[in-house]
Amino acid sequence: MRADYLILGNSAAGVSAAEAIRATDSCGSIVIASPEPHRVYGRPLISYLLEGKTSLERIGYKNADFYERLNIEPFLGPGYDAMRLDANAHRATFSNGTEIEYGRCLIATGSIPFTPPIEGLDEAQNVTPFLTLDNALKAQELADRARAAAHAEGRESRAIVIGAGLIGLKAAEAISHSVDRVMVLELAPRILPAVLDAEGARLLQGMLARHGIECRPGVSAQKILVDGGTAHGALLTDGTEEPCDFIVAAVGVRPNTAFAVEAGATQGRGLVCGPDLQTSLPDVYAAGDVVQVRDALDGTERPLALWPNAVRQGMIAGRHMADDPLAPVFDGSFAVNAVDFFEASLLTAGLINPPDNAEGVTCDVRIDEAAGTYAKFVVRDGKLAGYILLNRPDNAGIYTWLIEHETQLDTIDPALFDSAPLNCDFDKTMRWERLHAGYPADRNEKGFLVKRECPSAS
Amino acid sequence: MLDYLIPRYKVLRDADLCTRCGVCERTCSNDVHRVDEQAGRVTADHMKCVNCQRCVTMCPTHALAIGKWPQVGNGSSNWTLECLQDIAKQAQTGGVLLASMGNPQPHPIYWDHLLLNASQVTNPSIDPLREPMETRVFLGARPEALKVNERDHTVMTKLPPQIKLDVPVMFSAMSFGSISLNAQTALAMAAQELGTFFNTGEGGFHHSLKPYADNAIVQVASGRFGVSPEYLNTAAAIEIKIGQGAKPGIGGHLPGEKIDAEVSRTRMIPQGTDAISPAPHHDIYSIEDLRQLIFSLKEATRYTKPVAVKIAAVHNVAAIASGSARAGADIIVVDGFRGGTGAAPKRIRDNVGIPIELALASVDERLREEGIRSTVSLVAAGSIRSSADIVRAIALGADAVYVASAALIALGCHQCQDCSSGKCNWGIATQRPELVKRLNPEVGAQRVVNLIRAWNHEIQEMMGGMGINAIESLRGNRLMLRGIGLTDRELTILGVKHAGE
Amino acid sequence: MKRIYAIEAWCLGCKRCEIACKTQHSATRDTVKALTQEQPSPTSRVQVEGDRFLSLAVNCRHCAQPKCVKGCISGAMQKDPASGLVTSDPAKCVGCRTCVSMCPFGCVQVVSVEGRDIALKCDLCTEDGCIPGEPACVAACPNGALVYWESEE
Repeated sequence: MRADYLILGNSAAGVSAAEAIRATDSCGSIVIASPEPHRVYGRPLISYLLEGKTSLERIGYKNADFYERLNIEPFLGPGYDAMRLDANAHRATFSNGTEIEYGRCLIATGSIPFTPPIEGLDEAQNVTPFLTLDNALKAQELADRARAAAHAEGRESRAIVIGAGLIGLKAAEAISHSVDRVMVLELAPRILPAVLDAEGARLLQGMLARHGIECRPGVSAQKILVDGGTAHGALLTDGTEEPCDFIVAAVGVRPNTAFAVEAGATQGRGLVCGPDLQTSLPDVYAAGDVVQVRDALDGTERPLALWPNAVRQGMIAGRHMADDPLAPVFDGSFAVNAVDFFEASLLTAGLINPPDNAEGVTCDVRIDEAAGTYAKFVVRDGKLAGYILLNRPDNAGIYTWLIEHETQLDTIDPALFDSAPLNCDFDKTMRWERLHAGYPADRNEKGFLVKRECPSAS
Repeated sequence: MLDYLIPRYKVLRDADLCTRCGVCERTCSNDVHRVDEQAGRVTADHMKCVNCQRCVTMCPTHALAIGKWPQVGNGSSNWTLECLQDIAKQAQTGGVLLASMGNPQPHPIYWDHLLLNASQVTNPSIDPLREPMETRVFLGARPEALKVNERDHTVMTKLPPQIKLDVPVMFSAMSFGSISLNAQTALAMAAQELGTFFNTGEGGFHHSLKPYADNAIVQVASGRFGVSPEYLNTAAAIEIKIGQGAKPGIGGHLPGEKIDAEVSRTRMIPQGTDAISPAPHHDIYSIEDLRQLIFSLKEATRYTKPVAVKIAAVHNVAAIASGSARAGADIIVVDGFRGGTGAAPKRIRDNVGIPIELALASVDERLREEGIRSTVSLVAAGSIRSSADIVRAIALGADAVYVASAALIALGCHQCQDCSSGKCNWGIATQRPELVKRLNPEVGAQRVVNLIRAWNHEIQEMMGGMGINAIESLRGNRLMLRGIGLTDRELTILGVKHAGE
Repeated sequence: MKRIYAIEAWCLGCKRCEIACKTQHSATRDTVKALTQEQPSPTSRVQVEGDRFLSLAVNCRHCAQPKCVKGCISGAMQKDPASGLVTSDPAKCVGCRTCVSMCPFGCVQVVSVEGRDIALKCDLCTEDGCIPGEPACVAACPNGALVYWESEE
């Protein structure tokens, strides 16, 4: 069969691209193919699902009529794993043998779990990654079964989560409601090594401990103890053994791009794309976790596996695929993370762990132990380059804006960092410009029609 | 020392309706209200309340009302509570009592004793919605006779300069300093939209009001603040202020703290110095001196602008008006004792001057007797409260009226008479930036425009009822008035018959 | 689309807009009950910043390219393509605060409603998807410091 637009992947980047394509091209045929059998859902919501904060009915990212309304043909199910791509022939082949010829193709296949070389990890059936809805449902099933079995034996149920990144900790939080003891192992010397600094990690670790989640930074598993296909414990790198009823493996992810690389696409730490998000292959675009992004703050090139980034890239790639003349270019990005653990909220953005003694970089740290808040602002060359806000989320987007717009902080009231930032911390001109997009041109800043303007009524 | 004063007002708060939202606290510049989170209620310092009713108006749940302080007097009509309190205040401070706005004493309000006529059968009434109804007025001197070239249809007589009003109402003099620039701007905007005039008062002409110069009357008063050739030439007309109805015989005093950079620039005086307007013009001691000033101003403006003379309604007002007309005034403004002021000694405000109704009638009568009424325009001022007052004023002989208090009330003023404190909660009689900004001139202008448009409709209705289709035909038409509850003497001065006659 | 604009020259900081917003977004639509009795206490979606000398009322800008919508992981935050309105669906929101970290103006509040954290924001006082003449905050402003005008984008 044939499609004008073939989108591989049915998550943030894929559906955003489909929407963008449809906004420009009202009649071209669009196919979305994904091995996941579900209609698009909020992937990061899987931990919230296990906590009961959402449900299978509400987890849908788009309205139920999304595919129908935008006239998209969804090919969803285990057979629709992209296996081969022939860029010259404009053809993709799926695991069930289906071949689809396309006009343009978008690779939005996201991430797949990175399986660490831990002995025994791939032998046990009670080990699951925590990346998809099905993973989450399996984790829940394992947790329920572990609890039933353990309580029948009159002991506490136990789970081990390998990896204290965002996925690992969210998984730990999710299963902690069903499992008595959760231990989180992390090879790095602190939890959330990518999005937190040492002090923030210490505070958060203490908070998680109060909810029965024991984090063990600096310790990982060197061997999974498997008996009859079932993991019942782990030998840790510190030589101790830790029993468990099941394991969530959340060590990391890597871009799901093997078929594209095989087809000849240039890959660095992700697919290398131009500013229009086209890969090195003609008419093959990419968006989301698979794309290697230039970090606007530190200049490094790596995938930015975050939902907002996937949506933005999907929108941009879709518009280029549909030849929208006004399509914006993708010019790099930086990480903004928002995550909550129990009653704590954690927002981080940009550069949060600058190298020691980096020139022109200062860190402004504000800790309020009583209020349980921790804030760190990284300032580089007089501009905000990153922040960590633990339990101080209000108006954080104003800080994000400062990072994005590389605003010189000397124009802004320093009170901005003392508590929630405000629009009135900006000077008059910037305040007006920020808040008055699309303001009628025939009105002045007093709201008067310009023809009746009184230049300076005190 | 214990202060013997007691509160004048009591803040009445309906506990069932109060939500402790704090709007009252945030809106009171007198710091009357305080949200007491600890006590879980809002408290009031009644002593500080001036009854401006800002909080009453702003309260989202209408939980507030201001009552009289319940303290009674001793029953004496002589030693009233107010009298006692005045004495207590002066015993405390040793100062002259200051007051604002016009004479509040319970003297007769003659407007309310004058009834209007309406046509029945003969000279039938006119429906203003169906037929043209002229409310346009020209102010300025008029020639004694008009020579017309019948063949060319041209006027041969050289006409003196006049100003054209689309409505028979202007906004009286209120200076930038006594009122905020936003208040003045609102009146300027309204005057432009209505096709009438505002008056700068003796405060100079602020540069931001240039777009409204064609609708401005500039004032020359005893302090001569802000007067320059440019000032005189920028406006449509010039007014010499001899006196003010609220405080005849008294000058003005704007304290130095109100002379900020903008007021200083506009008045052309150093910042922070007191702006003192002397009681008299120090160069006017006779009608001849007044004539010199009038013609100086006419010379300075090359005889292109009418010059008005504003006098307070006092005992010999008719003679002064006559003298002013003979001195060359094109417009004579008579200001009655209920006219407002930003600040006046209380004893002056309450005891000096006469009502505009009597003054207007006697001035009109005197000018007619002397055969010069038709050569000048006459404007009545000093508490015009409604369109019916305007109709009565015109029927008593005025060409047009000045309103100030009513316009300020449209802007939010609630006549609390505390202008002199400089803490006007409505952003009118204040120069404090945080209070001034409470008056958005565009919102204010719209309200004033609405008011005057409504009044003009009512004037047309009343004229139509009388069978009159042009306001010129109403001027001095005292047959359209009848007195009620008035003595023969009063009726004679007013020149009207009693109802039933 | 029509947008609410703050004219700070005329803002008095009285916060009548906040009270009107709370009433509008309360269960009873009665100011007294909304502010004194309702639990949870209704949240104002307009925030008055500043003091009596400088203040301004900040409302959701209903951006042309809303970052809160791009960031939303649950699909709760949506921009209606026809009306331009950006809304947050409380049923879908999980309270992750991505929108808070994305909104450049601080116009999303995450509050606990019936035990769940959800994001609340200005909805221009829409009911059943239709936009009425004047949002409650604009109607409550005594001084033209909030205006509701057709914007040029």
